[in-house]
Amino acid sequence: MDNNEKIIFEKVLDLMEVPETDSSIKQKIMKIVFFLMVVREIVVFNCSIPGILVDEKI
Amino acid sequence: MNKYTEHNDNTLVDLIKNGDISAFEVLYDRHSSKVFKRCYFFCLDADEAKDLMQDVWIKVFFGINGFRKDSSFYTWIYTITTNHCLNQLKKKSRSELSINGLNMEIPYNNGKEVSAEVRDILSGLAIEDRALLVMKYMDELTYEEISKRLGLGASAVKMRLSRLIKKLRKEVRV
Repeated sequence: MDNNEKIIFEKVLDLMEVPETDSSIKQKIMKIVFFLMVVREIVVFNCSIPGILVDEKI
Repeated sequence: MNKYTEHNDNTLVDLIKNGDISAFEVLYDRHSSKVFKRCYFFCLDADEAKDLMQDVWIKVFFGINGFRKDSSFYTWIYTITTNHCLNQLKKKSRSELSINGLNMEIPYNNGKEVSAEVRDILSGLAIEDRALLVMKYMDELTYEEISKRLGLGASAVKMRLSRLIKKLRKEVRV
């Protein structure tokens, strides 16, 4: 890559003044991920019930 | 401090696959600012960039079991980010196009938080042009890799990027 090109792009990024992400967005994303993780565990558990019942019959 | 701060990305991925949310938090802390920067580069609006970033992390959560470590985690997540932004903003510009009936080469942003000078430069770029810049100078992909992802010829990618850089150089006066 042409180093000069990279410098130009970096200059554009500097001029953009990209705002910092605040902690609220992190909290929101972590809450969603936690919720999805719990849902996934419940689904996995429920899906395993027929297998458990079959095992018990055997 | 999170107990997994010192762990590398691949170890964290394994922990997440086993249901450890603390490991996800470390990955988030490590990569979120770069993910956000990419999102912001596409939409030039902080609120929209946050929404895009949220979608990206949810995609990461759902896709992490399929992550095979053929590439590094950061390559994987930045690819998800670029593809998601590109797809979402294409969809958005199409819907705006149908509403307005305008020829949309200039997309969607209101540019409230971007400095005026750079807003003028970037708002004039098509979404694909922004994707080209992100892939080349943020994701550091080769011309061949970019051409595969965007379905363009490598020489077309090279030419388009050269034209973009020429335009940017003129505007930022480097």
